[in-house]
Amino acid sequence: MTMRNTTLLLTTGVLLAIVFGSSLLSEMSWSTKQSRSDSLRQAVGLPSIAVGNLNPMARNPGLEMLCPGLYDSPGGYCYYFTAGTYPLNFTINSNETATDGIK
Amino acid sequence: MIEAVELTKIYNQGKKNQVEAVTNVSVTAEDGEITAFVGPSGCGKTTLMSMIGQLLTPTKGKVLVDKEDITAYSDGWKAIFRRKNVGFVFQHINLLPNLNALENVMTPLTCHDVDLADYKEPALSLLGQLGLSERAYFAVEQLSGGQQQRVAVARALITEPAIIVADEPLTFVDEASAKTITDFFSKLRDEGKTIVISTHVSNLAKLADRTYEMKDGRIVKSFEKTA
Amino acid sequence: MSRFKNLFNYALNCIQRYRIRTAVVLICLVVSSAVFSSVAFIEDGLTNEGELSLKYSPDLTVQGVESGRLTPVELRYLGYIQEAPSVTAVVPRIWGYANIGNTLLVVVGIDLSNPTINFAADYPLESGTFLNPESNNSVVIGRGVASLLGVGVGDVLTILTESNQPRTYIVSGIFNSESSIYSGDMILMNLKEARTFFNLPEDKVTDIMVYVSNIDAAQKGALVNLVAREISDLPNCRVVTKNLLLQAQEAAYGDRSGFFSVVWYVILIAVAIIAFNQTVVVGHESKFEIGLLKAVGFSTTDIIQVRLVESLLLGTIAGAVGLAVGIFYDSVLGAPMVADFMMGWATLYPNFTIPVAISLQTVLFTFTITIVPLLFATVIPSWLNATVDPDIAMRGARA
Repeated sequence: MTMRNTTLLLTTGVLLAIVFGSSLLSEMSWSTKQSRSDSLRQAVGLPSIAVGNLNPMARNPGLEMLCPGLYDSPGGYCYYFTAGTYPLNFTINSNETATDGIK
Repeated sequence: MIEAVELTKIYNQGKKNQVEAVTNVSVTAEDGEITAFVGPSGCGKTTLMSMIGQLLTPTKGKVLVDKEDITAYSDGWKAIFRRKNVGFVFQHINLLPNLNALENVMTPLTCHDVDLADYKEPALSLLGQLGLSERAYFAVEQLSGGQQQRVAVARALITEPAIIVADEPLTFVDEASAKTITDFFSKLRDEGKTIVISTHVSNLAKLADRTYEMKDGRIVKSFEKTA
Repeated sequence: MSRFKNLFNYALNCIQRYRIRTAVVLICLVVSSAVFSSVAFIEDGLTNEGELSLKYSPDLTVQGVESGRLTPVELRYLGYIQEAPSVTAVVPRIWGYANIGNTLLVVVGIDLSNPTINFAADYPLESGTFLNPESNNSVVIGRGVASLLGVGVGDVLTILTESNQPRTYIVSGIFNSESSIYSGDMILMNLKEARTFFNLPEDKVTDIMVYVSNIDAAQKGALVNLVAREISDLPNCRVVTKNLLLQAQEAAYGDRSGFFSVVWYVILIAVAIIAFNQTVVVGHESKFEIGLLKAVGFSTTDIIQVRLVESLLLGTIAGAVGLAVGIFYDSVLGAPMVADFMMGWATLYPNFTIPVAISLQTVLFTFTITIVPLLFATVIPSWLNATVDPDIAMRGARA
């Protein structure tokens, strides 16, 4: 095998070792992470900010700021979330028109 | 011994541009002889060489080598047959660009179960016999047409095949290289190889033990060299 | 064995011989795999973080609703909820947002008589101590808050309450950086202090945490829904289950990473087109080479083997480099631009380290997306060329 080919294979090997090594370290780190802040999460009970911000249960100061900032009105961003439980289903009866009921 | 029996090749069969390049050719090439095919351009020499060398599947007919019908082989067995028994020299030389002369010579060994390092010296020796010992590590682009064809001859011989098929090997070759190659073929003939050549070069044709003249895809004349 | 080694070396030489094709394909695949993996690592990290935090969330949270909008919930519902079957604990909570130092922080008041709180536990504190039932006006603050306000343990913190009255607190502890994604913006105090801070009436709380029996883990989900249905009968209330939060999380990050998926699909299609184009452009050379190799004795299998090794190695190198770039971008650089988009934050929030999870699944999937398209783009055309007569292949390439 030529020097170049050997270098190519070695480089590939090193890259793979870096990638899989990082993955292994990350997986191990996550499996031990849960013990470090369990007590606080249990005491407070609020979801982390990592939880999606489409639900007002989540702590997302950015979005929560936006909601009151945008005037709370029907059709507004915050209207849907406070109106009921997520997800919501709206159905519109296409036969209804504004003139229905008006004689 | 090679026997071609009623070989026919039709390109684009059944289509508007159908061409019958070779029609009903039956020829014999003996071991330890040079068999030459001569004729004008477009008479079907290259097609015939390709069929004999198993680079092209005939439309009809068969090729027998030592009485065995190799045309009936599967694609895989044909590859093995070519690998072990045939060395081909092309009209258009057909070296691999981006490889040097030595690497081109050793390319056929890649599909053999051998350690390539063991064949470096034999490859260099072959190149030396063809007057290229100082050009072994030159890139293909750095070689003249004649030198490239000599590399191609070395490539055809590196696996020590019993059969050598050369399709117009001296077309793009200078006089000095042509002489070297001609002398080399003569030497191979003396070693007992079966050599099949198509050529329009008189020096090479004169070397042949058996000559077939072709026209419009058919054999029109054949003659053997008298002692 | 020598034969395999020879073919393997030949394949490696091919990679180096077709330099331009190799470079183009590598660059395209590295870019696509880097984009994909950097987003996927963050998505995995946020999902892991979310699941971790939801692990200790209450099974149900009861919120007040008035005119379809969230309001504080009545404290008198505590007794009713407690009587629902399978309910093991009911804990009131007061929390909200406060604009302090031009930053929106989270003020949380916890009931220190809550049986789920373990005062002997190891809390993620950098310094100081956690709250205890004797502490009145002491607070434990997040690392981000400490940096923002320039305070340490033992310092006095004066904050304007919601009724615009200044209120003084003593910093008893500071949470560490490691837990900053959870605690970074937090000011933790006891329930009474939080009520005063938010000027909440005595009969109201922000929400109520409900814990359901763990006896039958397999039936837990159904049990929670059963309890939720019972509690939903309460007027001006809505009940949020843990599952709902999980769904919200999946939806949010599914949507966000979905945006990047669109970008990534576009890149991948471009890559496939470029790789195929390069294969075609190099195709004549490649077709000729295949014809010649067959002429000198290579079988169709040999040729496919060579191309396979080429594609596998190129795809692996591209995937590995792309992944390495993604890991560097996320872990070292903190994923600028991508992180902001995925988290949905404004710039109000104090700094914290975005969670990154380099999952094996994502790593393997990234290799799949770099190797498989390349296999199709190279092996299939090679196989097609290898199954024709060598003479036809060489003549066709020359034409």
